[in-house]
Amino acid sequence: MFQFRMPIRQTAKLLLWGLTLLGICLPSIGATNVNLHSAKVSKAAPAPWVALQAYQVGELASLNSPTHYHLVDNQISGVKGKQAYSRYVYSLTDITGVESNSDIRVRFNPAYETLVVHDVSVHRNGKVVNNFDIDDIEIINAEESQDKNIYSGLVDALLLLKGTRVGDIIDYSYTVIGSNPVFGSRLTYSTYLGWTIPVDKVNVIAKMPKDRPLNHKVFNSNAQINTNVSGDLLSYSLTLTDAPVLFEEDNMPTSYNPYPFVQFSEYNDWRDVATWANDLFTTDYIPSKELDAFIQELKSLDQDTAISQAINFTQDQIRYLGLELGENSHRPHRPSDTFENRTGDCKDKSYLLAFLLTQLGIDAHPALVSTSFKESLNNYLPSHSFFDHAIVEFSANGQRYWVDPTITHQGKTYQSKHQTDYGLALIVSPESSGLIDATPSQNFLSHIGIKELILSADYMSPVQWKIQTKFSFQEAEYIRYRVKSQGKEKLSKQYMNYYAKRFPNIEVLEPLTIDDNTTSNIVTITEHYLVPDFWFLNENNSAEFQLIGNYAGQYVEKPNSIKRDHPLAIAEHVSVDHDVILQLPEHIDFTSETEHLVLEDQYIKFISDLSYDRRRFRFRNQYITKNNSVPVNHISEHIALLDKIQNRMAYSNSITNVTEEYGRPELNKLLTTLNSKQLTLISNTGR
Amino acid sequence: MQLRKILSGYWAILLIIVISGCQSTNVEVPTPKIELKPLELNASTLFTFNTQLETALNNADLVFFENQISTSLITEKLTKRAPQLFLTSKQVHKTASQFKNKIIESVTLFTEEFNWEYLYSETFSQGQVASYYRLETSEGYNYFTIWLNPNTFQIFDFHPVSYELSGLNFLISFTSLMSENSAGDNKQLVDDLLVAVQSQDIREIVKIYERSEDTISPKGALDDFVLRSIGQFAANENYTQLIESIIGNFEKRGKTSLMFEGHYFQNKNFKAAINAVNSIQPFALMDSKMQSELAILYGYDNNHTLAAKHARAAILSNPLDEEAYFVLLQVAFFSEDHDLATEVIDVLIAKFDYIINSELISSLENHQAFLKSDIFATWSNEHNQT
Repeated sequence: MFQFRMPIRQTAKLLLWGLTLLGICLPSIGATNVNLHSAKVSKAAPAPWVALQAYQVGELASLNSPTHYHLVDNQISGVKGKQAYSRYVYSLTDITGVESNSDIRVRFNPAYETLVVHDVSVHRNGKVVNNFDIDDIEIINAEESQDKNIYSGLVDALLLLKGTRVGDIIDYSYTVIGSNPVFGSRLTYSTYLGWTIPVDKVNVIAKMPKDRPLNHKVFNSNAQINTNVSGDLLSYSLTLTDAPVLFEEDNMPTSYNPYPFVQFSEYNDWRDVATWANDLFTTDYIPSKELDAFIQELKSLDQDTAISQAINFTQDQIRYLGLELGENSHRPHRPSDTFENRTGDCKDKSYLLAFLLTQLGIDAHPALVSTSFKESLNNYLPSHSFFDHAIVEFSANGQRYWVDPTITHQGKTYQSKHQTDYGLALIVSPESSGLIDATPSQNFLSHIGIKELILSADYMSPVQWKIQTKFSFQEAEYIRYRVKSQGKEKLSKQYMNYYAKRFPNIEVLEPLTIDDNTTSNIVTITEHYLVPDFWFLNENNSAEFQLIGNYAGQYVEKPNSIKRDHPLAIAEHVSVDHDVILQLPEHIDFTSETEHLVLEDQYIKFISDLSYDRRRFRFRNQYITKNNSVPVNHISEHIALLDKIQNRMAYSNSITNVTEEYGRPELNKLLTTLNSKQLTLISNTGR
Repeated sequence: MQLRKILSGYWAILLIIVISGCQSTNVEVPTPKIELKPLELNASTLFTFNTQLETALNNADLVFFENQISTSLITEKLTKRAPQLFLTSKQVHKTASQFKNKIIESVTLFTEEFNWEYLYSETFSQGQVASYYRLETSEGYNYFTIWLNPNTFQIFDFHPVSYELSGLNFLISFTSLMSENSAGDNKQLVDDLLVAVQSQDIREIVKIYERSEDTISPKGALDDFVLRSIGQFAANENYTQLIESIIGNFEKRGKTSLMFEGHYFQNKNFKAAINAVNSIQPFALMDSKMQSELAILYGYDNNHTLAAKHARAAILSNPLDEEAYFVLLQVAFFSEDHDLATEVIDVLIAKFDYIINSELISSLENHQAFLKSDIFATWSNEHNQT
């Protein structure tokens, strides 16, 4: 896979570039070994079908800093297999540009691609000052996802240019020949037309045999594609001068792509793609005694239990490992192989799970989804390139479920497992005819409920602070993972240190407890602290206090880009209830503080309550998302709403004349003794 | 020193609701007496409503209370929770009315003897509010929950803490029990049980309960039934023997009830008494009185560490509860922590204006060592107390 030599901070949409070379389960998976020495790299002139492009270079002083791009040229041919030509011409106009853009890196997969480098020239004062030799190229592994146990076989062809200087013009071009045979002969291709830096000229050409026309679509640009027929060749071309510059805004929805780009696809509809996918997931069944025995074991259980056990097995007993080389980038291993090896990537696990459920008489299928494009898939031309993940869809007891067998630490029953909302999915089955709505009808909302109870015996002694946090569904699964991977002690220390930022002298009064109900998929964490710094006696002899109900604060932060041209993302399917109760030593009438405030728009809802009950003053904030993004035309009102909500994260007040209480020092002394005994008890038990 | 006795017998009157609701027996009920001018409802918040209700109950203003119990809301709850139990809307409405009347009758009996104290409320999903109360007499405490609609403050259910089920849920469960056991031997058992209650034959009740152990379900409804029954007959001479039999039955199934606490205490089975207290709902368990109860029980059980822990919790729960400090003082005497004892005494003097003398100290157990201690001698000299 090639890589831009410009400092473009792309979003996940970079995937567009090489999606045809990426496998499902990010990146492609395979079973062949990669030998760096077998990577085929050669030097040759561009193929005759390439239409060489002219470009212009202005005065150095007029050029952009630190690098000025004169030409980005991408051409593709599907006539004799897939050949993808690229050429970049840019000036190094500042030392920063010299440092960052003097290396050339081209990514490809030697399992099925060869790299032909045409030219690497450094122009200085009108002359070529370097002498490019193919032996100057080094091939290195490009396993960027190996920390995720994914091995792709991708390599980088690396060329380090020596002696480059400010003012030099770099001009290099190459062609990557070949494509993953798993895609057959169908061609799909995408390329960007705009970036965060200006480009003088952008050129795109696609050439196909006349009997294999390409569907095409341009996004976020008014550029037009010219179609030309010459003999047996179809040619699609597009040229842009002074390509528009995109200012990248933060917090854009992941499924939103602001960049101008063009997409080509030989698929006519999603049914075609479904047919391709279905062929991949059709393998000969090879009998396996162990697998058969496991299936019999499942069949001996009641159906609900069997379904849950099948899912739990594929999630927890099959190690996630993606050896994604060659055809196995998209073709799953046989269920019996995955079962025997106890390893597999998302498509292997999904294929196995769908197989197990089918054996139980459940209507189940693998389903291809896109973790980036999600519900926006329908905006694009049909293509196999978009799918980077596989899950399983099945029906039980009249309900449809979307289960991800690569997720661990979920609830133990299928009814309680969190279901990720991937928006749209392509079911892998002979009947599949297009993308379908993959929005789960249950268990997609993540809820966190926090209940704090602050007990105060007077207005100067440490308070006892109990915090009970209930995590549901996805939140429960995340915290469960944290507990299992970090351990309870570490989590406990992290929590305490978080509160210590506010109360430096905080002490643990009782050990943190974790109640994990895997049947309902709810994890409850309970903490007990002694907080000496809760009350603050001011110069008026009033005891000041502050209640903080700010868990939802992380969801209502303003973005850096306030004036926006692109929508604002909202954390999806989130619900928070942060409830803080201060129990006072005596009845103090706070009823005048009672308030019920609702702040909402079409996208979020926030409710803030202040109430008083007998000796109990309550501050409660609730937050729920209603939508997953805010369109541009509603952003200013939404930001104003976020400001109002941010102002409701804390409540402060004070109790007057507290120093006039009878027995104040005596009670304080007694409480100090009792607290000390309690703390000693905790430290002596070693917990 | 034992702080409290179980005062749950009166709630067995709810038993009669089941009988009346299902079999239309004639039961004499006392007529509520109206003595004070009833309060008008004037509440915008749960707090103001409950303080009004608390005042009304303490003033025996039962009209106010009666006006707050909503037959239509009870009807709605019955219909929603147990649509299968009632054939016609007339039936369910009749049951709701009888349920309301029985609640009023029960409360009537208490208002003259008990002091009602509102603790606080808690809101649950499905728009239900639980308002928590403590009943106090000179003999002890009990707790119950009043279930309300949060918008109208109308009452639809009561739940004494000694029982697993609230009044409405007990009514539904026991009616279901009779419905599910309406044939053969099981029907005879249920019929015999009801007759035994009618005739107040506690011995027969227990016998039938034990025979029903493996045959009648749901078990929770039967357990609640028998607890309400024995509570009603606490003065019965066979009470001790009978409650032992029931306790044995509960213990076999790993269950307990606050109702057993007194019996365990009398038998010096402090661990079991502690378990009985710990079985109650959190709002009651965390109240200063129950934490004090636990402190005393642990003290008797010679677990002075936990005794101090719960005594501390009692003070934190209500720093103005004088009794909690006396409990802590008792705990200090049990553990011979005389430094702690003097600190408690200092609070009793400074905060509650007590005069501490040997007579007061001698009212607590294990006081002798303290009175003879150097610490007390020093403290006495400093405070010029005798």
